[in-house]
Amino acid sequence: MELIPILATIILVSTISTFILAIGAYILYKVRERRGRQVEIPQPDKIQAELLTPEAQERQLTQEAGIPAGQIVFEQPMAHEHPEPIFVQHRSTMPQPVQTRFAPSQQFVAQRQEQQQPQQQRTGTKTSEQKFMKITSEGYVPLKDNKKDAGALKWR
Amino acid sequence: MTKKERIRKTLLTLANTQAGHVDYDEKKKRIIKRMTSSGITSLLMILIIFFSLPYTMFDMGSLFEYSTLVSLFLFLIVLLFRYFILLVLAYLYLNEYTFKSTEGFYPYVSIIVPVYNEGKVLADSIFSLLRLDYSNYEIIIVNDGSTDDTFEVGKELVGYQKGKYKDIKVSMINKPNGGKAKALNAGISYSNSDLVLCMDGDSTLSEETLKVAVRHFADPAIGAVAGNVKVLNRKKLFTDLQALEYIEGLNMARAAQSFTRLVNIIPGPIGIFRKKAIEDAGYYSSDTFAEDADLTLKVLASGWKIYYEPLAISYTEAPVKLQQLLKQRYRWTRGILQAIRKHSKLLVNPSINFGVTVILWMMFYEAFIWPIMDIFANLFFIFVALIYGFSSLIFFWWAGLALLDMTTALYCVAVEKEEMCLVPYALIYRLFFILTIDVCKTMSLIEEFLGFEMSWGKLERIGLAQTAKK
Repeated sequence: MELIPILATIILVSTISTFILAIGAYILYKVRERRGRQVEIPQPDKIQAELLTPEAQERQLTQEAGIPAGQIVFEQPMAHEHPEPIFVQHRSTMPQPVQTRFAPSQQFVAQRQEQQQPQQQRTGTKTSEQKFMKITSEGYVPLKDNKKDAGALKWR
Repeated sequence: MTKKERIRKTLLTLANTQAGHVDYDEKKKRIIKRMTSSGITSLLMILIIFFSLPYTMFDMGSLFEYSTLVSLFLFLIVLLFRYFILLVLAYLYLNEYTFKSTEGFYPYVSIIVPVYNEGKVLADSIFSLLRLDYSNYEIIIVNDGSTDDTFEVGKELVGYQKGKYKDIKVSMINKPNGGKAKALNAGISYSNSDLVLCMDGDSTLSEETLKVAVRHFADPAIGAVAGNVKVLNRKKLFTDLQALEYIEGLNMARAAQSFTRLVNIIPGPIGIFRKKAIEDAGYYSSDTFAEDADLTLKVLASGWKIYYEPLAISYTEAPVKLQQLLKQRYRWTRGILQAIRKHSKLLVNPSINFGVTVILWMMFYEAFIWPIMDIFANLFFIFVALIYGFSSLIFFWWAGLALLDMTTALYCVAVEKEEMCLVPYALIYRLFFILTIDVCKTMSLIEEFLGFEMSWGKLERIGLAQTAKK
């Protein structure tokens, strides 16, 4: 027997099977879909040609939360200052990556705790008062109390 | 009034007016009337041919033989023409892309992650965002009234998280369920940046996504950049076929459209927008089931250009079951048809925006003409094979298509540096996969035309990245 008739028969059978399978699967999908639809929820296609604006979105959020308009509720207080966009004009390379490891939520919890600490502790920087304190046996002594002994610079 | 303002006004009128909705029933009646009359005319013509045939030199067998040959030829011509145009434009785009580079442009970007019951995959998605090779961005999660543990997972992630270069701000908006469009709008409205990246909660981005996508915005005419969507869950026949479809069917077309800066659909899993372009387009709308296609058309109609960036990759979970796939494609088809109908004035009037008219006709061909044509061709070949025994014709027809698909798949896989093991799937791609999809498309088309009610389908995610880590 020649090869082409055999292949033709295979393709014919495959095409017919695919047709039957596709139509059957579609009918099954529609049946399942109908069964699964128990609760009637507002459908997007019922709101014809709705143009969503940020104001409307904001109003919706505030009304549902029962707070005055113009105020959006977020789950965590937001830092409202966005970093300024950076437009680097002549920069040939990107900054070097920091070596980081991604760990699950514990790392993030620790990080948030760290963020709650005062800024100076987190970053390791000292205020001007701290910078100019002197260590004595009684601990840190502010500089202004010992101004004379501090050996401040004098212009001659 | 400038041309841009005029276009925008027309667009907003199209989108807003309730009158359009009121007219819809009348239009529908008119279309049904027209279709009924053309159907009766066609039936009459068939009957005339059938009864007058014995008086001619043809018999029924020879008539089908000739018509089979003609239809085979016409079908292949149409297909070849489409592939040829797409391949040429995709090649021109690639050529242009290879020699283009922009440096020193790193604007601030807000990444909007709308989530609805994505508890399983949300953490992985956010971790992938923290690994991005870019320093100037923030992440905004929008919880669209999820009923699972999405809120708890999201809450854990809120704060300043360690990014690749510096701490990245992660915020969350928790809102009642209102659909993806509203969730995205909430995120966009909260964002203060000039550029926003809209994605799906179940997708993960490649590290260089932002770096490579953002550079195109150095051109002030570019309003949005479409990313490259790839299938994450492979190594199964069904998902591999979808991976091939994404590469061959979607990305090649997007690359071709990008040459003219007229990409017709910015995919939901990854799209970067200039905020001004979204504002001009009037934000995402909930009146279609393909809000991404709708917004893309509105952005284009507002006079902005859209580019495609193949290196901005979003990995997404493809449906693993036939039922899930049908659900997805049903929504896509009806959504696209709704978007086309919404912009039908632009479809029939090229003087408003010629580029959008061309794009709309292409979408109309893909969503309306092609599936019907494919199904009719298949039914016709089955009929002539079973009744008149011309089974060899169906083999030659399949061989022609398979050869075409193989060549295109080889080109696309090579261009995208994808897995070569996907190429052999092209042999069965059209026979099984495309035929099934086209059956679904045709059924969806009929349902859309008859105005059947539909709801948003939610695909079940298994959280593949998480599973892989374990």
